[in-house]
Amino acid sequence: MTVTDVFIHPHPRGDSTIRRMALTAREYGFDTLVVIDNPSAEYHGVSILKGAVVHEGTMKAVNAAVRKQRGSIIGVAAGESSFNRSVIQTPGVALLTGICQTRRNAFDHVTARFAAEKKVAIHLEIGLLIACRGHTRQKVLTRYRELLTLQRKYEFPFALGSGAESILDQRSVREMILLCGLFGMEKEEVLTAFATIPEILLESSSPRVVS
Amino acid sequence: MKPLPPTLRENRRYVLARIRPAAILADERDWHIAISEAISSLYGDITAAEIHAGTIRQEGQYLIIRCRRGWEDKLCTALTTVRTAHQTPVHLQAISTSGTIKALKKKIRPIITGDEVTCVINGGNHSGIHYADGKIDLIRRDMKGQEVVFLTKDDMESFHATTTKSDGI
Repeated sequence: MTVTDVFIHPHPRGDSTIRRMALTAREYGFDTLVVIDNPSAEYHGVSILKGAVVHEGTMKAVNAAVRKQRGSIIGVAAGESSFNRSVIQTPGVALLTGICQTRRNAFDHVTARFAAEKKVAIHLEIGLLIACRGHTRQKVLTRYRELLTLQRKYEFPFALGSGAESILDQRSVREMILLCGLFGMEKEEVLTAFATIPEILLESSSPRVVS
Repeated sequence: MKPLPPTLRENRRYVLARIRPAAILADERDWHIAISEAISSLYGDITAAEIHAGTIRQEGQYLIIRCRRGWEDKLCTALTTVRTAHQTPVHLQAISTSGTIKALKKKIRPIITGDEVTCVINGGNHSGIHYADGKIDLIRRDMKGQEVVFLTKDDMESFHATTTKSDGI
C-alpha cells in the first residue's frame, strides 16, 4: 500500500531541500510525497509528485489553475459552502484543503455526498495539531472530528499531510497514527487515507468511456 | 523515610526518543520543560499528573523518558507535539517503549558523527556538519540571527557550493 504525505513545502519556502525531505520521508515510512511547486521526480526511492494549491476563492481562478497546472495534484483552499460544492464538481481538482479555516457550515452533508461521488479528497493537515496551541488546536480537533463523522457516513476520501516546511516538521507514519487518534481516527482509516492520492491519480488517468 | 513501600509504588514504563537535529545544545532540564509543556498543553494538568512524565537521561541524540504504565501512547503522542527546546526547533521521535532502562539502552544506535565543513555559496561562507550518510546541516548566519538549512550532498551542486573541511584539508 502506498503511503503519501500530501503538500509539503521544501526550500526555498522551507529550510530543507526536497532531497533531504525525501530521505527523511523514507526513514519515516513514506514512499510518496506531494510537493508544492516542485517538478515530479524520484529521490532516494521516494516518488515526488507535483502539487499545487489554489488560494483564490473564485471559480474563474480555479478553472484557470486546472488548465495551467495540468498533470499536477491540484488542491483548492475551501471557502463558502456554494464555492466548495462548485470546486468539488470541477474536473481536475483532486483535493479540498484548509476546511478547518472556514465556517462550520462550509462543509455539510450535501458537500460530503458530492465529494464521495466525484472522489475528491478532503485534505487534513495534521501539522496544525503540532503547530497550534490552545483554542486554535481545540478548534482544529473539533472540526476534524466532525469531518470524520461525515466521512464515516458518506465515505468520501481523506488525504493526510504534515504540511512540513522542514525535516523537523515531518512525522513518521506511527506518529501520524497517534496524532490522528486525537480526533478519533482509527489506524486502518489513517492507512487508507495515506493511500488516497495514488488511487485518485489512477482513476483520473484511466480512459473514460463516453456513450 | 520513603513515601511508599515498594509494593505500593506505581509501575513505570520508559520511552526511548530520538532527538533531531543531533547537534542541539539542550540539557535534561530543557527537555523536561519542553515535554511537560507539551503534555499539559495537549492533555491538561490532570492527565499530565496521571502520565507522571520525567526525563531520566540523555545519551547522545537519544532521550529516555519515564511515565506511568498504561500511559505510554499518550506520552508518545505528546512527544510528537514538542517543537522547540532551549528556543531551538526540534523533533522528538518516540522509538521504543520498555519496562526497563536496560532494554532501551540496547536499542540506542551509535551516533553518526559528522565532519565540520565550511561551504561557499554565492560568495558567502557558511559553516555546517557533513554526516557520513550524505546529509549536511548548514548553519546560515546573518543580521537576523542563526538558521539551519538541511540538505544533502547532491544538493550542493544545485547551490553551486564548494565545501572544505574546517581544518582546511
